Amino acid sequence: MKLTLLLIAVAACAQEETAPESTNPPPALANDANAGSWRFIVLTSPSQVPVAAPASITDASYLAELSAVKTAQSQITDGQRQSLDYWGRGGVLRWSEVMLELVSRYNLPPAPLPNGSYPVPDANNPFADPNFPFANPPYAARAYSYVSVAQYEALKAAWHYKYLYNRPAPSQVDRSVQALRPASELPAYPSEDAVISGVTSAMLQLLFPASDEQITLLAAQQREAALLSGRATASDIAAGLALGQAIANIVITRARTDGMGAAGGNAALWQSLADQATARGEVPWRSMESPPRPPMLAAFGRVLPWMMTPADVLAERPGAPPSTSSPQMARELAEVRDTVRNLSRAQIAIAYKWSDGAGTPTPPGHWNWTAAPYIEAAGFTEVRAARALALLNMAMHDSAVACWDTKFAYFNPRPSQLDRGIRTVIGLPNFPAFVSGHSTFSAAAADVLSYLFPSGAAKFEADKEEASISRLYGAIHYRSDIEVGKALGKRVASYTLRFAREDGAGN
Amino acid sequence: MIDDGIMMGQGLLCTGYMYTHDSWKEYWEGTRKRDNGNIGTLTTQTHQHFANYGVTNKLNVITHLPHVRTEASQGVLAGQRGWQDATVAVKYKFFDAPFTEAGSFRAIATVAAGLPMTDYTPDFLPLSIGLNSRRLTGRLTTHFRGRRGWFIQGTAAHTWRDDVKLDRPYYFTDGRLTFSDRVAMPKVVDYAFSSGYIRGQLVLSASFTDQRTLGGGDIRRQDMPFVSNRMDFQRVGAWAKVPLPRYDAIALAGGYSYVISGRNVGQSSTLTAGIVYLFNFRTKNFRGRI
Repeated sequence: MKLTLLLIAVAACAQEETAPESTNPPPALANDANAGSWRFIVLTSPSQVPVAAPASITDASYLAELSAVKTAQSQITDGQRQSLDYWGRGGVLRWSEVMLELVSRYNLPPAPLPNGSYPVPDANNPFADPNFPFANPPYAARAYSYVSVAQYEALKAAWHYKYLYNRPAPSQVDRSVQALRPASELPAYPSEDAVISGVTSAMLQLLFPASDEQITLLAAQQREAALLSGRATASDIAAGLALGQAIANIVITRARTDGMGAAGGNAALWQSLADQATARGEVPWRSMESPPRPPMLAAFGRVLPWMMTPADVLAERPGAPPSTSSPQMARELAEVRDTVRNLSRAQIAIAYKWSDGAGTPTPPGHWNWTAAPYIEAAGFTEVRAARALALLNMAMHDSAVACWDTKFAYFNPRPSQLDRGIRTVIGLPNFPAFVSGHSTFSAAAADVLSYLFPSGAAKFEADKEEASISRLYGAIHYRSDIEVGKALGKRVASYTLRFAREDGAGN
Repeated sequence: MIDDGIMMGQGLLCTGYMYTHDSWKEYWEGTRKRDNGNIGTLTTQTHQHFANYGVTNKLNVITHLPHVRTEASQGVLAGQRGWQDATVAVKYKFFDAPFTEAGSFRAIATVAAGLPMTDYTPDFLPLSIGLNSRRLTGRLTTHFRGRRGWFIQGTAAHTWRDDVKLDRPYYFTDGRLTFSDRVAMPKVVDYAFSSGYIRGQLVLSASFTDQRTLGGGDIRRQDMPFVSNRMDFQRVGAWAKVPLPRYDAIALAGGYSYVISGRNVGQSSTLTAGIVYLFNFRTKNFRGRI
């Protein structure tokens, strides 16, 4: 039932954003035949996970698989046709939409207990109140990046084996197998659809365990669509599923030791951050919520980045914000106060457009949503689509790490704390102000997307500026938070862009 | 006025001003009742001008326009204010049985349209001043009045609501993420019973109201409310309209109501007070019939 609802929702709601200006971007290299040689991020080689050679296309077992495809096609139902249409947009793009929904579903802070404390979501009891996870912006940035990187690694390995074994698609082998999705010369073994279903469902079950049932059903449906479409036989799919799951397990090993488990910090850490700010002569951040809520993921700045080293994160940390007692801070506070008192309707609309607070896909999700129509219009192969989202999401995860490192290094208060007269028109995030997460994420995302889709650069740049200034309109950030955040995001993105230029995939 | 069984006679204009003070500290998050330290007490003050004109004894036209101001006593969220939705209603008495030994009975059909007057955001609940949805209501009201002025009435309505446009490109509600800025609004039904006493310009009554939204999602745990939530409530109230002594063209009116149960709404206590003028454009005699 949930699956049906999801399908209807996704199918019924086309992207409203205008399509990219360039309707005829350069086509990807024919099927990205060399993708098995593109640089890996977690894996050490394309053959790290072995995939056995398939049976010959003249083998009796394969012929039996072909006739099974034909039988399935002859009995296709309306529901299965809808599923073919749905997956026809591409597995990477569809799972990206699913992720946006999962993050939105779990992006709710825990409710306070009667004693005024806040329970912590428990990965081993994900259905309890509060649900696990609380998919806040750093959690979401990391989750998007893990799924995209795992898909990208698995698809590069899949491409390696596809061109190693060169088994054609069923509709190419036997003309009586219908090609219910556009036929291509891409070798079928292992099935890229099955690889995506296997790697993505394994990653999502780790990140969103309470949605296990929906994820499993959707993944099975993707594999069924691969078979019904005439793109893959049972053995193409079985090999793809196994490869995807095996590579997910390698990536999950990294995820289990990347520091996320300790990212919440503890009472001693929170107190020491406040004490250190006081010792520097600054007003320390405190929660404006009632009852006061511990700051969001105080140690997320120690989580392992993708394209930076922990030393890079420290090296890129911006200098201190204006002192809370300085004339400059007084001026910036006055700017927030004056701005929010005189907001135009257009400014309010910008604040809401980019609010991306509780119950939304978060700012990294917003940028995934922005990227999707560009990926679709470019007609990318699955492996190149996965690359685009992996580059984008690695840069945003690294932005989250660098931004949180900065926030908790300075523990700077929000405008509403320094001036109780400042009321906000969007939710006030429960963590320090300097630097703005929106600005950091958006600057990094705009640079990565502009590299991948130069025709959209002006739009990405405009979105970055709008997303950043929306936080001043919302009365939750000072101008310094925004300007320094944008500069930090740009520096963080440069690490990902350096990788992108040298990864063997071309632009 | 829109939902009662009282008609202005031909040529009579009832107009005036009402102030409403609505506040709640507890609300229903779905079906879970709670308070919220980041809201404290949510107060909504409404200043409303209204007019009810008797085109004929059977046909009345009613309008009102509220100015709304919201405020939370705790937390950092900014209160909102502005002109909300204008209402225009046509009320038609299609059946009227004259006085018998027992009393009289009338039946009234009403069509009302609600039109947002300003571009306020509905996406900042509970502080938004309204839902910013155009709406159309069909209502049927029956009213029985005894010879001594006692009355009993029942009313039921069905409201269709137009899509609401948000300032953002997607939203999560009712278990799914929708990639659109347009929100389909579920239909609403309400019904009410009231009973009381009418004599000249004097009205005293008590009422029970039940509103049900035919669809929409619940507020999730620790989430903000959303414009298309399933907002249901049951409310009891009392109302009085008392004419000035020796000059009954002016009356003072006031009432109190209290939400006794609900879903995705605040447990409101609502006080209303206002002044009502009665003008007669037909004769020099101010004694209008109601």
